[in-house]
Formats: sequence, C-alpha cells, structure tokens
Amino acid sequence: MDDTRGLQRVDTAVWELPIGYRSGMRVPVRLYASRSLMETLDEEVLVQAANVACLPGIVGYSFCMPDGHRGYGFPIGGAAAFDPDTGVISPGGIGFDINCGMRLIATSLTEPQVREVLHELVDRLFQAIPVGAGRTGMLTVSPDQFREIISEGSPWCIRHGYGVDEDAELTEDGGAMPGADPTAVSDRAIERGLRQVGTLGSGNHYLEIQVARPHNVVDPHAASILRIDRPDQVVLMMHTGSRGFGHEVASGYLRIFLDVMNSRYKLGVTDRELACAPFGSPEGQRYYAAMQCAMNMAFANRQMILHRIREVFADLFHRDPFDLGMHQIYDVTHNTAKLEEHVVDGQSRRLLVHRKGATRAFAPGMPGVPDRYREIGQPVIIGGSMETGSYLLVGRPEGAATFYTTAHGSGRLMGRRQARRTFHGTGLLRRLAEQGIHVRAVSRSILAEEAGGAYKNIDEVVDAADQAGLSRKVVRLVPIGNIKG
Amino acid sequence: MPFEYLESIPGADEAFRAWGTDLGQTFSAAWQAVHGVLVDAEAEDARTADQRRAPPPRTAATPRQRVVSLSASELDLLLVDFLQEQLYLKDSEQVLYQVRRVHVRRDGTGWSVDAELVGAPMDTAGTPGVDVKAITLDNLRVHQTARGWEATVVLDL
Repeated sequence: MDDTRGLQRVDTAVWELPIGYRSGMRVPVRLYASRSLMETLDEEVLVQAANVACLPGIVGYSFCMPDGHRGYGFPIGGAAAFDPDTGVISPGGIGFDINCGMRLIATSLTEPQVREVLHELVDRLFQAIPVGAGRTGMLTVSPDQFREIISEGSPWCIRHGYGVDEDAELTEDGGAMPGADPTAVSDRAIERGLRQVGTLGSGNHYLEIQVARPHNVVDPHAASILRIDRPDQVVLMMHTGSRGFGHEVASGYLRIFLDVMNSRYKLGVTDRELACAPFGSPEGQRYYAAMQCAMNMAFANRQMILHRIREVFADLFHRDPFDLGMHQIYDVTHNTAKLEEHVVDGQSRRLLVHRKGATRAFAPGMPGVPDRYREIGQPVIIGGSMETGSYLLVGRPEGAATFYTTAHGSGRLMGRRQARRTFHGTGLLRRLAEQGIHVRAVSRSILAEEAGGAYKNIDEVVDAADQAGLSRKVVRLVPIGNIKG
Repeated sequence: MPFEYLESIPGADEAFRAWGTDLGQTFSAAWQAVHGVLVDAEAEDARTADQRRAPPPRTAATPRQRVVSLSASELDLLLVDFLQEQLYLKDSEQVLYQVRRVHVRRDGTGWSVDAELVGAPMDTAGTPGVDVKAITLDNLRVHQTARGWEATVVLDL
C-alpha cells in the first residue's frame, strides 16, 4: 500500500483503489493524478468513485481524472463505462448540465491588434451575448421550432444561417446526437429552454479571449493543424451547456429513476444522486433520448454564441469574420453518456461511457475524429480559471486505458462561498487588470468565486493527464479578456 | 430571515439550512434562500439607502401571481419539487417569485404543498446572482426539531 487511504500506486500518475475498499464494488477505482494532486484529494472523491464502482454492468474501472473533485453522485472528473445490455444509465453520471462543454475559435489576429481595442471588444461581447441568470437568448422560436433544434443540434442553426458547415464538422459528433427524441422531453423542459438558445449562463460559464504565446506552444505541428500558426495569436474559448432545458431534463429523470429503480428494477444505491435505471429499460431509453435532446440544445447554444461572436468581430474590425480567420477549432462536451466501441480484454465491445466533468480524447486515426485532425487525434479543450490559463490538447493511443477519457478543467479546490470570503471581486478585478486581463461580469461578488486560487493548478492537472497517457499537450492559452455571468 | 448559507457541507456549490415553527415557514424560508442565490444578496446589501429608494431602472410591472400545488411521496422530495418550481418559473416566465402564503400537509401516505406566489420580472428583481442548475438530493434533509422544522438543501450552481 502506498497511501493510508488504501490507494495503490500503479504508475507515476496512476493510482488504484482495490475492490475491497468498500463492499459491493464490482470493479476497482483508477485515479489519475500526481502525488501532490493526490495529497489534496478530498476523501469523499474516493467514496464517490467507489460508489460508482458498485453500479450494475460497470466495465473495467470506475475512473477519476486528475481534476477530480467531489460532485453529486459521481465525482466531477468521473468516468465509467457500462454494458448496454446489463448495465445502467445514471443522470448523476452525466451531471445536471447535460453537454456542458467547451468551444474554441481561432482568429488570424494577434495580441497587439486586439490589445488596441480590448476594452471595447470585451464590452461589445458583454452587450451582445446574454449572460447571467434568467437572460433570454438570441432566438425567438416556437415550441415546434425548439423541438426541431433539440432534434438536430448545431446543423439546425447552420441551416438557418447561423454558421457554416465546417462548424458542425469540427464539433464532437458533428454537433448532432442521433436518437434525440423530443417526445421523451417534458413540456416543462421545453418551456424552460425555449428562450435560452444563445445564452451563456452564469457560475463558471464564460467567454474568454486568449493568446497563444510562442513559448506556450508545445507542439507547433499539431498547433498549426489546429489553426494556431502565428506568434501571439488570439483565440476565443467558451464554456457553457444546455442551460435550464438540460437542467430540467436531468432533474426530471432523476426523480423518475428514483421512483422506479427499486420498486421496478430492484436497484439499490447508497446515494440518491446515483439514481439509475437499466439502460435497456423504457425509462433508461427515454432518458437517453431526452439527454440526446439536451446534448443538441447545448451544441446549438454554443453555435448561436459563436455566430454572435463573429458578428461582433466583423462589426468592430470592419471585416468578414472568415477574413479574420474565425474558424472553429473544435467543440467538446464534458457532461454526457455515449455509446462507443472499445476494446476490452482483446474483444471489441459496445459500451455506454458516462463522462461527468471528463472529456473524450480519441486517438489519431480513430473513427469520430474529424478528417482534419485524423493525424493528430481529437482536440481536447481544457478550461482553467480566468487567472491561470487554459489548454488545447489532443488524444493519444495510450488513452485506451480510460476508454479515451481525460480531464476537463482545473477542478475546484475551494467551495464557492469560501472562495467569496477568501478572495474579493474588486481586488480580483484589479489584480487581473494589472496582468492585462480585462473582465466584464454581471456581479463582482460572484466573480470572486472564480478566482484562480479556488481551483487546482491547471498546469499540474494537464501534466498529470500527459504523464498518465490520457492526452498530449499542444498549446497553453493565456487569458486577456473574459466575460461571465 | 430564517435561513443561513452553510460552508460546512464540503463540495457543495451552495448549501443552506432553513427553519420555521411549522413546515410552511420552513418551506418559505428555503424558497427565500434559493431566491437569495438567484439575486446577488451581497450586491443588494452594498447598495446605498438612496439607491434602494431610487425608482427601479425600468417601469415596474404589475406583480405576477401564481398558485402552486404539488404532491410527493416523501417530505424532503416535496421540498425539492417546491424549490424546483422556482427554477422552472425563472426560466419559463423570466419571473422571480416570492412566497406569499404556503401550507404543507400530510396527504394520505404522502405530502402536499399549496402556495400562493407573487413575482416580479427578473430584470426588475435586483442584481442578478448565480443561476441555480438544480436542487440536489445531496445531504437533503427535512426534520422536526424542538422548535419546529428544519431543512438542509444543497444546490448545484
């Protein structure tokens, strides 16, 4: 044993919690972290990952990524694959914000060109993109049109002039999940989502203007394929999800599962947030179909925000957005469950892979990686705090160990209320301004919750993922502007 | 107000304890605690008395009224459903409601709540706070105390 908590160190950045850690575990837990990340890991994360290991039909391991922290049900940074015939689907393994994800957009502009207009740019983006609780979106659609959006995802937006085909091609799963069935979605969810297509939200959701400084480009070849090919190039990163629509789908089905899991399926869980149903059951299939709708809503949401960003840039720089190099680099989801083919004990198997605060990271050449990136692997976008920077990574073959899953962000170290007490919004704004980062936020007190010190060290998280073979660094991106709700 | 936000629940995005002499008061206090997240209470506190006396930036709309009636098998799940209603109304109507009257009762083998709500459009309701994604089941508890009823609720933000 390498650790008083019963953890065994399997490799430099790989730890294992054996089946005996708690009764009922069907598989061991695998955690990916450096020793120092392990030292700050909340004991409850181990308990949550072990609870996941008890769920029926789990295959291989219950995984926890380097940014793992305590969640509701599954840990955030948790991943688990289930046999679709014998296993379960759990809203707690996906998260309340279905398809919370990241989108990265290139520009051909460089930092000096953007610095000249940075304040105006940030202010215009803040005005143009609805941010904060209760804001309505850019689209006025009927319930029937909304059902089309949640059936089609990003391509609906593109079909209506809000983007180009390439945007969908460079989105995970083409920005359109198969099997999305609006009849599996409650009217309440539709009423909540109807006015929210094209809204950023609040909390840790943001839009950030970032720079790829030459010394932060780790792999120039991969970076150039990812359209990052000039010194001090400016890119835009957004983090948002399926808004109230996805929240309602998740909350609604959590309650449905809670009602039936024991009475109908004799499933018992230690934590009600782990409520689940057999994937093949009517309830499991309906949740999956509704969850796919929420996936599509989030893809459409990020697509509409991208469209609005392009409009703001075109207006400010008096140039066509594509003359400004505003191509989408990629869009990833980090809260989902997907049916994927993986090799288990030498056999190819179809698995339902839950990723909650974890990102798919397919290796070079794998089906599902866009042609443009086939040589380098699937892009992975990891958002850090607004003070510390973010990363663009790619998947690699060794990722097979986690069913090609890696981290999603920095991971919280400190509760929001504790962060608000420790850091002060006004002081943070001043500190960020001294670093050349211009921020517009709906509320200063809430800003403090997102201070860099409230999160794990992003470099350490990404290095651990790299060391463990889950993903490979391409470029570190540093913020110069941020808008948030 | 008979609620307090808690830091003692590790990992919670936001958590609170609400209490009252009866279940109605406890449910009402819990509703107010969620409301206090959706509206930035600290920013509101920081506004000066003059600012608070100043007319709202937009023409005040006629207050909206609603009646909510819900049932659930368990008391704590009834509270979740009740609080979830605030999130639903926030997004579907862009209105933040307050509880004017609420009554919770046993209903056969389960529990029911009837409430009258009065609300204002979100853009006139105060400084926006953080959007609440969900009323979670994490550490959820509604129990009787010597002085009445107490609830503990964790929110996903």
